[in-house]
Amino acid sequence: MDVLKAIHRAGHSAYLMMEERFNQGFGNAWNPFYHLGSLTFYFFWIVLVSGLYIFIFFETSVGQAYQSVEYITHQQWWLAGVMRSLHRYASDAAVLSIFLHMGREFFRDRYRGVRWFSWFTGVPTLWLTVILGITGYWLVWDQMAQYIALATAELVDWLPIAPGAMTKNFLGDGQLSDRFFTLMAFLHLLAFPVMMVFALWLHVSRISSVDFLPPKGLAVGSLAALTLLSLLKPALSHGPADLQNSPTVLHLDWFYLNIYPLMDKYGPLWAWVIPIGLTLFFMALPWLPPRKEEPEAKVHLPDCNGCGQCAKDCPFGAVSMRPRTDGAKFTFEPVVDPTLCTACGICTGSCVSSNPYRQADGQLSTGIDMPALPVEALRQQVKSLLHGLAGPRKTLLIGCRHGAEAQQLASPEIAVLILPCSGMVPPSFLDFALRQGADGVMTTACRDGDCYYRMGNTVLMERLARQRKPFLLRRTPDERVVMVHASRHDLNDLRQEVDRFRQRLDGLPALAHQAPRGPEIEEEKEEAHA
Amino acid sequence: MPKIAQYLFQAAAYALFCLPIWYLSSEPPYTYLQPDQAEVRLAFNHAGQPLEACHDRSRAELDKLPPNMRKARVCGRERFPLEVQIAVDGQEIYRRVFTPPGLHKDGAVFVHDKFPIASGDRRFLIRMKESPRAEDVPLVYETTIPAKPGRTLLVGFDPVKRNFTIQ
Repeated sequence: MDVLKAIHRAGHSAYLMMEERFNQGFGNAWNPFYHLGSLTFYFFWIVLVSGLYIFIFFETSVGQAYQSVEYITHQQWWLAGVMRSLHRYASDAAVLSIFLHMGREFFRDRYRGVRWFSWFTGVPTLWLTVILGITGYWLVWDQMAQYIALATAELVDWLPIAPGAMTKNFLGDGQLSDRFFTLMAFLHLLAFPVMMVFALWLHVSRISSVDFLPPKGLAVGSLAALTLLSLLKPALSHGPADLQNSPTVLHLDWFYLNIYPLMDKYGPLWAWVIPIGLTLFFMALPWLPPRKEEPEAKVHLPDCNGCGQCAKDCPFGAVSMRPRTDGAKFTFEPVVDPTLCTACGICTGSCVSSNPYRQADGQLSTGIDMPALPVEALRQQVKSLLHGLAGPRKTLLIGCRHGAEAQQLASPEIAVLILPCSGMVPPSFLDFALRQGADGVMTTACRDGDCYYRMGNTVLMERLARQRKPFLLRRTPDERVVMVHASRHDLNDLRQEVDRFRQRLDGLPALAHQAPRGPEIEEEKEEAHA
Repeated sequence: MPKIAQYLFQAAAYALFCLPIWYLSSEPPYTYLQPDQAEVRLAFNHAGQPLEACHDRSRAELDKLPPNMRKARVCGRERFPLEVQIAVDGQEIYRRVFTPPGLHKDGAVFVHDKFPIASGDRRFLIRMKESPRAEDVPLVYETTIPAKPGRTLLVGFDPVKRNFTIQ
């Protein structure tokens, strides 16, 4: 659907522009846009710790709750008061980061296809967050809490289950019992937080290597910012709740309490219909329209030694290891869960058998392969692309579908190969390209710290730095193999990087472009075994 | 970007992030009730009269029924919807019909609603129609109440005295 694509592109461009500025100001490793999920987790941690502290002084009774919060706010303002403000502002920050996170995932089109689950489970988590916030405001038992309590009661009582059952609690000062108040405290302090932990676990259950905390710098910076905000504008209560009077002007927290003015204006029906309608709409987004994924990775046991690198590298936990079933001498074999596989190809890049020198005269096959672009096809493509090149600085540029549109840089001297993800590149292919006639190979991936498939650019970078298996072969000349990060917005930067790389190639001695000989093959085998 | 510029950028970014939190955590203020208004809140349970009056079955009607179902007196289950009208200082400012809950519309209605009125001494006339029959006169209550600013005037119903209360 072109309209949807246009929306995705426009939104993604806006994010990329902001992220570029933030990369300059924060550095890629600390760019908050790359850590919105973990930042949200972090804000929940702040909420939890600050909440535990203020709970020490909090009285869970109708008569004492307000006074205890006043004590927290004014008497022990220097710690409990700051904690109260942090509790509020970190909750607000969580809502803000959730929306930024949702927007980013939506515009990057990372909410459909196999990745529907995180989106689908994330939407109700937002509501759980809001409900948690509402019950928290209730506990202060000031005029705003009174307003929230009565409005919530009206909202609940509008449902044809037990009309009036809840509202009756708030019709006079004597009617609200400590027991009801304790129930609210139980919901806010235990029931909803437990549900939240479960919801968050569910939300991230289909991805691997989840960051539950942002980088230290970002954590310290956000905490400092929220603490400063807490000191400059301490969270205060309204006057004490008084059921014989109605509140007049309220300073609502619009992140959490916006539903109530909506209800005052349009009535309980719309206060139910609008949020439920929006929730269902957002939950249905992954299928509006659905995205068809490429076929999932396929395991080919005759080429698999059960090393488990594919399972380690898979960003979505789609590959797991189980006991060997084919009688081979190896202990384990990988198995692919098709409902989790995004067909990024990172596993193929991680397989030591994805080596183009293997079975050079026959059909190349590997331990785990992508049906849409098998390694044999990749090998043939590299050969044919390089065969068509001319000039003294033949360059192979390997790009990914989600980064810079490298295809635009193709020329008689530059061959461009586009993969689903740069993480699909087996390092031995770079050596192979040099042997097949390339004078230099450049790989380009999404911006550092940001990858459409979460970890593709990182695994490739580590493979090339010989920090992650399979390593770039020792014999491969480092100066002829480079990796650059370039997003869709960074085509000009990529062009300049390519030019610089090719200028550097000029200064290098001519390359022999010959197939590896006996000792090199032996060395390669040793590296593979290592 | 030079280090100092990076620090300034980060400070500005955190400030930018905190700005909506600063503002939206308490602003803009929401006026629920104007300072010179009081709030009338109706809150009481009451069941309307049965829509059909009870009647006794004739001998012929009873004979048509199986022996175990020959109940002489039958009463319809559905109740009349409550119609509540409120006039303040002679001017009707509220009228609403409350349908009885339940599959057979036979439950007691929880009358619950709220609306603001100008503060000051106000003459209230509350009228509630609970029966379809002309001979059943509607319940009427009239009183003058000092409605102080911000005060909640809770309109209830005493089922024993069959009369309204305003607290």
